Amino acid sequence: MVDYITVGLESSYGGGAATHTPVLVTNVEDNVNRGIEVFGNVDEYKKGYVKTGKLVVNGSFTASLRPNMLKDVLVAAFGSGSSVGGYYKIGLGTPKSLEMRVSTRGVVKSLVGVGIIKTGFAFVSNKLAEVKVDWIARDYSLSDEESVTYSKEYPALPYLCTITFTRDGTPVVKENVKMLSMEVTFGLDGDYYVVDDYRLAGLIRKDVVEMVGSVELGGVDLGEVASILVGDVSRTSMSDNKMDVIGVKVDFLNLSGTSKVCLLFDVTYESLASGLSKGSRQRTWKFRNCGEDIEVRIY
Amino acid sequence: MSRYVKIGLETGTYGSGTTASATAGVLVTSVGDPVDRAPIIEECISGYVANSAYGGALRIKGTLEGSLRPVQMKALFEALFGSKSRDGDTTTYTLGMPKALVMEVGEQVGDALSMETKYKGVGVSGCTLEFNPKEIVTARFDWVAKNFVNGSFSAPASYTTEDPVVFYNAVISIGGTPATTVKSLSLSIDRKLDEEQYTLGAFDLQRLTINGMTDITGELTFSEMEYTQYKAAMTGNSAQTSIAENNPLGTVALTITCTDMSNPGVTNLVISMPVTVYTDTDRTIQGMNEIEKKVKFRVVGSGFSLAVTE
Repeated sequence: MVDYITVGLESSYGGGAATHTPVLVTNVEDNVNRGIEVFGNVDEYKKGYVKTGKLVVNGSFTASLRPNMLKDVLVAAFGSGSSVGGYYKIGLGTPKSLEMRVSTRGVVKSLVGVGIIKTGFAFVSNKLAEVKVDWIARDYSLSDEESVTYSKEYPALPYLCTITFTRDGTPVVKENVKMLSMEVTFGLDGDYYVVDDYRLAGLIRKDVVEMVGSVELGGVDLGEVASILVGDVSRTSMSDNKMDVIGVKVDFLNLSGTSKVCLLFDVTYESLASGLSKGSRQRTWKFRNCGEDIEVRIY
Repeated sequence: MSRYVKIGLETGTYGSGTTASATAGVLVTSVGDPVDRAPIIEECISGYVANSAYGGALRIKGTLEGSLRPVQMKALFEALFGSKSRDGDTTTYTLGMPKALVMEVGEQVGDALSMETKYKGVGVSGCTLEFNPKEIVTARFDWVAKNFVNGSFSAPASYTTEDPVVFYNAVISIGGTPATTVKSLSLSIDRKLDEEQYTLGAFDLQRLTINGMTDITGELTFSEMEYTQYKAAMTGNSAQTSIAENNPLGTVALTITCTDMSNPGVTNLVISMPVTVYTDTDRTIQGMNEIEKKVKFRVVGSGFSLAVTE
């Protein structure tokens, strides 16, 4: 009895995947709600008429960031993936669906039509880089346990991470980032049901893709404070309500020193929370994305 | 067979491991230097044991204890306090942002078996001084370090000639008057160094800073002959028989003055605590044994300093 999950891109929605990649995860949840509806009639004391309603299947899993292992998940989430020169580029496009097989304590569910609602990335100085994926599915079936073999891939390590902020074309490597986290919501309609089907009918975006996040910096970073407060790292006051736009690049290396994975996105700061209590000082900047794309490069 | 500890103030960027002059030996009775690699353990659902482990945030947190030799320990006091001023032969340390040290710990077992570990970016997070009768005054320092490098054994050529402070050369003054009823005193300084200053892109401490209020606390153990200070600690005023309506705390100026064993009457260390409040009392009366009276105190306000005269 082995617990595991495997994922594979579907070629058509709900049609299953031809190949499956086992993914090392630290946590997995899956929920099935049959959508039971109960009705009462005027001539009865209690509700007696029961029927099944819309099938709601959703869940989440958390994994250390192993980009190659998670490639199909990221392509499904963002929508587009293609080989470009020396790396595999993942960017925004039409959402794709996965088949996900989840085996937990002897119960193996094969979930089809899996769409990714939300992906959270957490980069913390003393923890492995982590990805949390929230998903919805169209349907499932129970299947047999299978033997899985994991590829040998190290997770992204926090001390092999370089974070670069680029403003007006000038990149600056930030060496004081204690924590950077962001959550990308893909705007999927989790309620897309049609009249002749009790299952999710498709993966439709009903809203724009949105990224929000926060960054915690060590020490006194007057430039970043000025960026949120007055819209520019070099200004001390603001009269034009200017917004600073920062190109963020989060770069992880392999243990061998070669490139592993890179995330690129443009953000602007939304707020700064500062706290000073009993000699302890903390500043947390919150940001949201602005700009054309969010890109993941897998090397 | 020889072992040693050498210290020196670090210059340049934090963790550079360089000192303005050669590190100097300090006589200690014990040193502890655990190095915790703090591995990051990945526990995947697919296995009975953790899937893998990777190097984590390097944690080096140790102790250093020795007889109180103020001149030899000057670098430790400067790292602990952070600020210093010099007036003739007297260096006065006051609270500021802590400074970093380089600390070298050497051990040797026979000629061929030896090593020295050089700790870089050492911050002194706390210090406890213990004044007990019939004993040499002891100083214990707690420290953290950014990183280390192992190298060759290199014992100090000599140690600064200095006698330790002994109990009969330490005078505790309360309100400016030397007290004759203090059986023992302990004083603890906790700078609340931030031991979580880790950032992405590196696995060791990135800066030396504080993350909390500095606590300066201690305890006086009086002989059973002491009534004035004990009553002051209980009620806030030794002349009052009960706690007044405004709930006052007993407040005194405490001073510890230590003199040089080699030069009788010559002061070599003064610890000034101008605003000290008594926080609680503890009295034990057991049979016909001597009554034990303990009073804890906390230093507040401004003016706390430690002065070393060479």
